Amino acid sequence: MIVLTRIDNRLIHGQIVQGWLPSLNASEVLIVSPKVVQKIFLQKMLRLALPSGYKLTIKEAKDAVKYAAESVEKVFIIIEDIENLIEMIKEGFSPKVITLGNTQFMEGKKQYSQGVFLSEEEVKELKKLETEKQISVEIRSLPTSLVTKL
Amino acid sequence: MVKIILITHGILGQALLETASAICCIEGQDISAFSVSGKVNLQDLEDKIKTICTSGETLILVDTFGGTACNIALKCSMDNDTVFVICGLNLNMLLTASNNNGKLPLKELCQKVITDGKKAIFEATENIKK
Repeated sequence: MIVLTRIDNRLIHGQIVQGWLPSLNASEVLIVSPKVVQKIFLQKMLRLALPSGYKLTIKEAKDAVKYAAESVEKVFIIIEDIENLIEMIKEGFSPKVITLGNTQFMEGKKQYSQGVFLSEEEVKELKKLETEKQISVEIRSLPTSLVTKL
Repeated sequence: MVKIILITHGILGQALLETASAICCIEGQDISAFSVSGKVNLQDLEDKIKTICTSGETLILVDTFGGTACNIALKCSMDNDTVFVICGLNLNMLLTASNNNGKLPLKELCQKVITDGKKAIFEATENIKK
């Protein structure tokens, strides 16, 4: 069962460990990041950053969808960026809600919250998810944060 | 002397650096503070810190283990044996680091920063009533 799907380029960090995990009834964190799949060092780092007691799984987008659907754990999915989210959607991923937590700042991107920066193209893709797939996209950094829409 | 880098959330590192400079003499030392909050491109930040680290022994102090600041610091230390990362940054640690910079080899400096940082935490009211 999926308990939350979040876009966060910082992967496992303070907001996740101190903010989300204590209030989510999750038993597994699934990281979707091709970058981490390739680097053992980054995997070790994430394992250290995640409190013990949680299962940690790291997948590429194409493998993550099937994995999440079949996992018997309560899965908290953290996707590195919009690009990987879209790839998962193409593989049939269809959560009810997607939470935007942190996305990489780059010149030309518009700021939507303290940590969320999106290009016009990304906004278009996300809005399409809402209209075509009935997936609700919300901006929210912590469980206690005000939820805002695009 | 080693280079000292503070990486923190928000303005914590910058504020600690300003506070430390008002308490002890940090002039002439290579100490810099970086924030991981807000409009920061994390890849650019990582590259910038890696560049600093390649030019000699570096001590990186970060606020909390598992946070973004710490994750970036660890990535910078990955292929560089002359970079040491200590987490749990407090003012005493920074003061110890700058006061002993150049007086101790990097490994020993690290140990002293950790020891002094821990020593600085105690119940002050209890202590004064003794």
